Amino acid sequence: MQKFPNWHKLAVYFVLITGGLLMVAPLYWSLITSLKSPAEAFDGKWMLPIEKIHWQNYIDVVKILPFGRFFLNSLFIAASITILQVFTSSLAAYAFARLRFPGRERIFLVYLATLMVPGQVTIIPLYFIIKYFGWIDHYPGVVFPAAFTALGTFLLRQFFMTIPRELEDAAYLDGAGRFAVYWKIILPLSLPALATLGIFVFINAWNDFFWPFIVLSDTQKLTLPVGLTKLATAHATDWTRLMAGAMIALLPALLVYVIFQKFINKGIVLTGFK
Amino acid sequence: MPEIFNSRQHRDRWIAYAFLLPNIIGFLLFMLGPIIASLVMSLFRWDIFTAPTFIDWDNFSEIFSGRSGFWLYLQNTIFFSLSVPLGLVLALFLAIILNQPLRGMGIFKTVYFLPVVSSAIAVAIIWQWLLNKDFGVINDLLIKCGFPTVDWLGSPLMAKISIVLMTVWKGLGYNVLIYLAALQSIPDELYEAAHLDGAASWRRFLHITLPLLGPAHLFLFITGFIATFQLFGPIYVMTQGGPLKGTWSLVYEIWWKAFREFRMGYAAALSWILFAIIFVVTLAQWRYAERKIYYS
Repeated sequence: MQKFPNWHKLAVYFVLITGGLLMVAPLYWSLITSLKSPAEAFDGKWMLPIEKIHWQNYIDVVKILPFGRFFLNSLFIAASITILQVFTSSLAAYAFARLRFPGRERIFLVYLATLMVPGQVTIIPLYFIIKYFGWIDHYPGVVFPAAFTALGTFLLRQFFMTIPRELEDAAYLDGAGRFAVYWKIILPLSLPALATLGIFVFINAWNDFFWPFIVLSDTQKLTLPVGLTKLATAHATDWTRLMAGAMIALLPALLVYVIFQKFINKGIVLTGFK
Repeated sequence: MPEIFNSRQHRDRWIAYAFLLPNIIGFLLFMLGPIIASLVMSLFRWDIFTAPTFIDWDNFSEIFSGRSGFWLYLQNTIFFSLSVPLGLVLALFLAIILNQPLRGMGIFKTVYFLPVVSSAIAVAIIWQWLLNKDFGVINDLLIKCGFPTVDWLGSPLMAKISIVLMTVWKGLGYNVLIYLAALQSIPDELYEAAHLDGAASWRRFLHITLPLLGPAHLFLFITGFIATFQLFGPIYVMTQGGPLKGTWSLVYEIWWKAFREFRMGYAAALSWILFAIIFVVTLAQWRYAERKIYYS
C-alpha cells in the first residue's frame, strides 16, 4: 500500500467529510424537524434535546392521512411488480439466450428498441387500456404496466449467456425437458443476478411516482410518494408533519440500501441500473 | 440424426414461444401497443368526450407555432439538463479523491449514495423546506454568514436553479459510483509509465485519466440527460411549473395537456417530440463519442 504524507490525508478527509456533510445535512435536518413540536419548527436550532423528542408528528400524520395503509400499498405494489418482472423476464430471457426459434433476433431487437422510448410516450394510450380493463384506481392498473419491461429481459439474457452450456447438457442426457433445465439449473445458478434485478426493480417501484399518480386517486389505494404529495398540497406549511411523512417514505428504501449495499453497488457497476 | 435434430428444433420453437408468452403479452399490451397507438393519436384531435377527428399534422404545427409555449418549456427543460455537466464535474472530483487506498472510503460511498435511493417526492419536500424563504436552513446559514437571503422558489430563474441544485444533489452518488468503477479499471502500469516519463500529475490526469474515462462520461451524460428531460415529480411538488411557468417542463406540459385539459392527441404529439429530441441528442452524443473515445 502506498504511503501518503499526513497533509495529503488531511486534505482528502477534509474534502470527503465536507461532501459527506452536504449529502447528509438535508436528510438530518428534516429528521430533526420531524421530531420537533410545530412551535419549535422555526426556532432555527440544529440539535435536538434528547429529553424532548416529539413523536407526536408521526402519530398526527397517520391520523391526517392513512400512512400505514400507504406503506402497505407501496409494499404490495412494489413486491408484485418485482415478482412478476423477475419471473416473466427470466422466462423470456431463457428463450432468447438458449432456444432457437424463427424471428428470435428480430423480436429481441424490437425489445431493445423500446428501451429508448420515454415513458411519457406510452402513458396516454396506456391510461385508456387500463381504463378499458376497469383498473383505474386499482392495484393491477399500477402493477401490470410496470411488470413487463424489456430491461429485465435484456439483463438476464446477458447473464444467462455467460453460464456454460455443459452444465445443462448432462441434464438433457438424463432426459430433462427445457423447463426443468430452466427451473433446476439456470435459475439456481443465476440467483445473484436475479437478486440484483429484484432489488433494483423493488426500489424503483417503491419510489415510482408518475404512473401511480395518474392511475390512483382513492385515498385508501395510494402509494407512499403519491400520498406524500396529497399531504404536501393539503398541509403545505405544516413542516414538522410533512417531514414526518417524508421520513416514512424515505427510511424503508434507505434501510434496504444499507442492508444490501454491496450487492447494489456491484449491480450498478455491472449493469448501469438506476 | 438430422431427423431427430429437426424434430428437436421444431419442438423447441413451441417451447420458446411458451417461455416468451407471459412477457410478450405484457410487452405488446403495455409497451409496443401503446407506442403505436400514441403515434396514431398524435394525428387526431381527441378530448375523450367526443369522437376523435383526424387532423393530419395540425397538432404538430400548433406545437411549433409561437402560441403554444413549447419553446419556453423546451428552454426550461434544457436549463434543467445543466445539472448533468455540473453533477459530472463534481462527481469526477469526488471519485478521484475517493479512489485512494485510505481508510473509511466505503462509508463515504454509502453516504453519497443515500439520496440516490431516496424517493424523489420525499426529497423534493425536504428541499422545499431547506429552501424556505423565511425559515429554511439555507437562508438561515446565509444570514449567519452575513449574506442577504434568497427567495429560492420565488422567481422563474431562482426556481430553475433550485431544481438544478436538488437534481445534482440527488444524483451525485450514482455518478460517483460509476466513475469510481471506471477509475479502478485503469491499469496502474499506465500511470507508472507516465511517472517514469516525468509527466506532471495534472498532465497524467489530462492525458490518461480523462480519456480513459470516455465510456463512463458518455454513459453518465446520456442517462443523466434522459433523466432530467423526464423530470416530473419534483416540479409538481416544489413549484407546480411556476412561478410564471418558469419551471414548466415538456413532461409537465404533456401531463397538463393530457390529464388537465384532456387534449389527448396534442399531448401524444408532444410526447413524440420529446422522444425525437431525446433520440437525436443521444445519437449525436454517441456519434461524437465514437470518434473520440478510446475503449480499452
